[in-house]
Amino acid sequence: MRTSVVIVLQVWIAVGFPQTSEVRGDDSLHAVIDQHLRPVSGLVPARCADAEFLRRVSLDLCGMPPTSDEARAFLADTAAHKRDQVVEKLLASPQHARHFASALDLMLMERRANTHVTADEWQAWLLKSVRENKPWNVLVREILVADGDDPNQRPAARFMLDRGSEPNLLTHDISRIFFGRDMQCAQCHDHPIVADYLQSDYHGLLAYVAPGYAMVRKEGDKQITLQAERAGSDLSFESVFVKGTQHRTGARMPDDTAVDEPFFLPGDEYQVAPADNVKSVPKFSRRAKLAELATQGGNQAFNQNIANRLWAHMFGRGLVHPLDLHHPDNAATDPELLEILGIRFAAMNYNMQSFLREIALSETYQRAFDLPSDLASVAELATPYLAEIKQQLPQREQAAKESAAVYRKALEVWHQTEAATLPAAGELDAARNVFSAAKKLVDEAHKALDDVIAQQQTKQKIAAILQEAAMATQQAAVKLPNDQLLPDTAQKLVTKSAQLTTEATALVTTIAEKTNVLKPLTEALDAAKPAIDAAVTKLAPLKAAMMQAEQAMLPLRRKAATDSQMLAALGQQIHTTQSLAQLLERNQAIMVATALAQARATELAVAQQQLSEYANIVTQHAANVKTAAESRATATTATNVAAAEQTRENDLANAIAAALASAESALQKAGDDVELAEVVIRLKARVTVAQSAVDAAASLVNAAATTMSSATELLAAAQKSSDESSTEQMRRQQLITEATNAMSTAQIDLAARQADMQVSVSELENRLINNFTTASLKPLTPEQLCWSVFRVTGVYDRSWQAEVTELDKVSPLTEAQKQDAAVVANRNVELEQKTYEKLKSNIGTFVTFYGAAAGQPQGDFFSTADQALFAANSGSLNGWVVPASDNVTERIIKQPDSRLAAHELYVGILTRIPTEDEVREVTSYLNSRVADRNLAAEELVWAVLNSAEFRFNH
Amino acid sequence: MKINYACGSADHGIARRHFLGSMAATGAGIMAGGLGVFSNPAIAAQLRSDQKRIVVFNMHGGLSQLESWDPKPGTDTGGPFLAIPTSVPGIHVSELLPQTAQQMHHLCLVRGVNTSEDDHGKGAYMMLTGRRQTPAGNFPQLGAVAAKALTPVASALPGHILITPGGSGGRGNDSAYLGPKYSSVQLGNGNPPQNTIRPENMAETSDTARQDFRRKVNDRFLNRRRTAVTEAFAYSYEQAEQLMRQRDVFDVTKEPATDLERYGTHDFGRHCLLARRLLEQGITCVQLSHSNYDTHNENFNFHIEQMGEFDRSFSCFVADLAARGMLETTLLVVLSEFGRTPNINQYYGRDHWSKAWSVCLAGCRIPRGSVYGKTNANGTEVEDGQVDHGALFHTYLQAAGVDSTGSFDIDGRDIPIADPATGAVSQLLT
Repeated sequence: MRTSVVIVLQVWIAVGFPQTSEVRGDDSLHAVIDQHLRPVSGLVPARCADAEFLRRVSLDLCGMPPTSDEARAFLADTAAHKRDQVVEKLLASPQHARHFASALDLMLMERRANTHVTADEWQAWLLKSVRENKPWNVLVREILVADGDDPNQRPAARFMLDRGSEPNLLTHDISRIFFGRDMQCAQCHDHPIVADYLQSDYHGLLAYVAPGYAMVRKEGDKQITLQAERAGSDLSFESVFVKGTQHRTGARMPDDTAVDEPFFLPGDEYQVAPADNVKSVPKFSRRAKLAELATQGGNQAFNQNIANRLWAHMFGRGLVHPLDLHHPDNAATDPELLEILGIRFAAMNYNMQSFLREIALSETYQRAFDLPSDLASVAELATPYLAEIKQQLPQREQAAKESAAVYRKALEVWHQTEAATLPAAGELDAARNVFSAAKKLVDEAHKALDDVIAQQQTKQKIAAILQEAAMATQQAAVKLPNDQLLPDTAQKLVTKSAQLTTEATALVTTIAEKTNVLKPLTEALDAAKPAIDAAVTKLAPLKAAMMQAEQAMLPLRRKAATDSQMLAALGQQIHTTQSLAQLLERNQAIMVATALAQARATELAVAQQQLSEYANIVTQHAANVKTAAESRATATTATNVAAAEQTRENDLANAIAAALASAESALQKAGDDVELAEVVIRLKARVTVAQSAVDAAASLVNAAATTMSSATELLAAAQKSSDESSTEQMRRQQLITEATNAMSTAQIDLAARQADMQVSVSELENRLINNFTTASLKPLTPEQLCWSVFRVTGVYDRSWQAEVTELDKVSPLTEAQKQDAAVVANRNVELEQKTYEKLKSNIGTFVTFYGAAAGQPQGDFFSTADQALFAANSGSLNGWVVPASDNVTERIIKQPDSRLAAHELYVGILTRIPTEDEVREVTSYLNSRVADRNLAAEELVWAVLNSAEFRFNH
Repeated sequence: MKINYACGSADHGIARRHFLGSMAATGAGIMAGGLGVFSNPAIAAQLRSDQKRIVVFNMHGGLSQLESWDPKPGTDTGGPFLAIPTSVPGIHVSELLPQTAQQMHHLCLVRGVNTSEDDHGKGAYMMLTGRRQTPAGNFPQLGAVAAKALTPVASALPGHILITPGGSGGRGNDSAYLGPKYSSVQLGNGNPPQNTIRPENMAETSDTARQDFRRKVNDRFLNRRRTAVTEAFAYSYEQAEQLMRQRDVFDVTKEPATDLERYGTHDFGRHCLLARRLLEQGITCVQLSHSNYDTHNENFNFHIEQMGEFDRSFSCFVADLAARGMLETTLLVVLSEFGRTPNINQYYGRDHWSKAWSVCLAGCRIPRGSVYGKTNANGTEVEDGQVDHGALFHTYLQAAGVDSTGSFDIDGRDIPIADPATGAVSQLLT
């Protein structure tokens, strides 16, 4: 079970390892692509939805999205092979030829300015080539050999002529555009960063184009610039870093050995020798050789470059990326796949349309844009798999190291053989120079002799004419005997003729002299030849040895490159797997952190619960204190009342006692006074009563004091309990603070783990995009943007319809013709051409804002404020979104149901059904703008047109 | 496994928007000139301390060094004009620069320039890119390099402005492999950038509504994938709105009329005042030109006229920058494609001459009130302190705090910032 899943994963991450992919019966190219890059279905990644596919493939093949009617029809179509069918339909459409020709133009000319051939002529030639489905190798051959003389092929000469025929520029661009190698930095030394780009590679390619030059031929009043060519010679160079070590190379292109050229004596190299106003043609044209060798099928660099570029045309990035940095340290996503693509593309006769079709049909091309959602389930398998693939690492490293060492050694040997040729090559140069100098003298002497002979002949011819004239004059003089003028004239003619004859005779001597001069010169020339022969003889085995060394080196170089790429690819695979494994680790870390955060939250909740539970106790204690305090207050009052009563009773008793004492004293003094005695008796009785009242009051006071004391005790006890519960409450509050802090720490940690995850996911996302597991984001080119805007705003189809009307008026089709597919197809090509011509002036506007500078690579995306300002404020876009016959704006306005209006908006512009959220947004936008619904519709169209979803293909 | 794309990025977005918002407030609150325009002193201080700026005066056609920075009065080549003393004792300039002479204590004259290239196009290319033109590759101009190396990431304003004598503006083609992001935004005859005014028939509410809806649609897509590319795309619209709000930055009429009077009411005066305004607003590199110095005929009359304009505006510009403390952070370069021949031709003209001519510098790390390099008595050869375009280019960048020996990472390729075969002139850097 586990093993099989590991294999699944292996295939899923596979970046080109034959041992991991099963051999399938279907060997169509799209199946081969999927075999290398295919995940197992049911796992990640998903296939893209129909709507996503339709927009993607329409933009890639035709440069514009479908109409909303086409989109609806496709979405409703239930046919099993509807994707295949739409690919066929798009490839057969005239818009495909237009779009692909434009892509080739960008690739080949990079928006360089017209100088000698207009962009219109060139683009028309490219368009014609694409319509004929001209194979890539034929197209390149035509470009490389065109000299601009044949009017039919003159546009093809633009590649060289509009680069000023400058050899270094051509070397740079040919190496980039046709061989996928930017060797610019190897002009003055081996490339400082790319170990594989050697200075000798640069100069080898330069030697192919260096003999070429631009020549201006006058044709009457007109001048025409042509790509002429001189005879080639070896190029000598040295590195600016390693002064003093001379190198020398003949013509040599990437992934090839130096070309074996026939030897010509100086002066014998030309079919047409260079001269004023003459386009020279050497007997051996290096340019023609370059065209032949590059395009004949066996040059891997040439084949892989174009396979990679066509791949990038469809996928937005190459298997090797950047497209012109193909070297062992910048390995292809799948080096083996790229190799196969190169071989297969050559084997299918460089048929670009078929190649694009195969890519479009592959599952790899049809993958979803969104990241797979169930990464975690795959991530689980990554760690064991990682250990497994890491085991391959030492072996791969060893292989790469060994083959690199072997290659370096072969390179050394080759450099030795190169050095060995230098003296003999120098001798040959010297002998050639001697020969050339001698030949120059011979040529000059020949010319001098020819001049004299010509002079002599001229004099003789004139003398004869004069002689004849003299005779005729004499005859006339006989017939007009009285005329004096005629004999005089005849005499003069005779004299003049004689004089010229004498002069001519005199020149005989000169001729003899000049002939004599020529003789030693010719002998000298003949004498110079053996030295050349000797040098050639001497050089031949040395050159052969060098050639042999190079031939031996080439496969070793390829092997070193392959091993290095396989190592790099394994490295990529390991990184991707690590990213995946890391995802799991990080997900586990998130889970741990989440659990911790949750535990902390629980702890906090418990603490909060405990605090809140305790609140009742605290409240109860507080209430107790309050009650006790109240009781004590009551007791205090009672004590006070009793004390007051006691005081009053005491005072009364004292007053009575005092009165009794006074009365008794008075009775003593008064003797028996009945009344007094009676008073005394009464008072005495009263004293007794008062005393008992005093006693009662005292008793009451005592009782109150007892109550008071007890209440005080109770209050103290209640207070104590209350204080204790407050302390407990504070403790519990403190616990909450601690729990809150702990939770916050746990949450911060969780956020950090989530951020780590984010980084991992982004990294993985990049890797999955780069290995074509998920679809990439492709910015529309200025041309695509222009046509897409015209398509979705209805401008394109309106213009098309106008051309249909016009053409039907001028040359209507018969019913029979309308049934003839070929006639209809031709008609559509014609209509496309007319529509294009009607609208093409707008392309320039888009290029101005969205295009990279002339001569710079056109694939690098940039976004600038001036683009957004153009979109927002210029008349262009604002004009196109205005409602017009059945365009999306008008459809929205005419659609009373806002829900359906939302569908018009999204299907029309983004080729998809809107989500419920989106429908709601549009509905509310329109409903809030009943008064100016037209304007609202324009705003919506403008807004969606300016979204990233429209700006990019995905 | 839940993947939350918006996390983090959104915060950055908000932070940036917030920053831009405060910049916008600055733009809206612009009063007349001076550093006082910054409503937020912290930002002004940050711009002052951190951000270096460059202003290039391109003396189109080839300014005569003999009628400007390196006069040779009383010699066979000197012409009719005298040399006058300057604010720095011992340094003399042509009498055609009386007001600039009073600013000499801020300036540095480089008198030993030898570029060995007498073709207008090639010479200009060399002086602006620091390299010789090669057929196989193109190099970015100083302004583009400065914009890339010095412009703060969060700046809504373009880093590279070219004030052209005429034209309708647009984007320049001068950034080569650095990409159009760093191409100059051209201000045709000093007018604000193209398309910065809302169409007449469009209400602001309508524009706001559609922009809001655009953002909604955009954000939904960006939630599916957010990359540097989509961020750049989304940001370009924010930047556009900022530019519209900050359109006043480019409006020289917002400067006091008395300043324009001081600078001179001609185009060049207006352009200089605009340059001052742009630099104050934090634009990284401003290039303006004064035309035309290609004086094969009547060199002396032309220079009287041209230098008259230049002297007035340039001296005000230098004095203002010095007074505002901006010379600490702003590098001034006055260059041409070449100088003019010491030899005076039969039409009282001087021809193209690249063997011994002058460039004037000021600000940042450039030593003030100094002269570097020396030509012989009649100006036909450099005697001392010879420099070429490559060394000068390094020097400009290093003066402005850019390590010119470093590299840019362009699409995975390391490309040297300046010609690695040469380096800065250490004597020109304090």
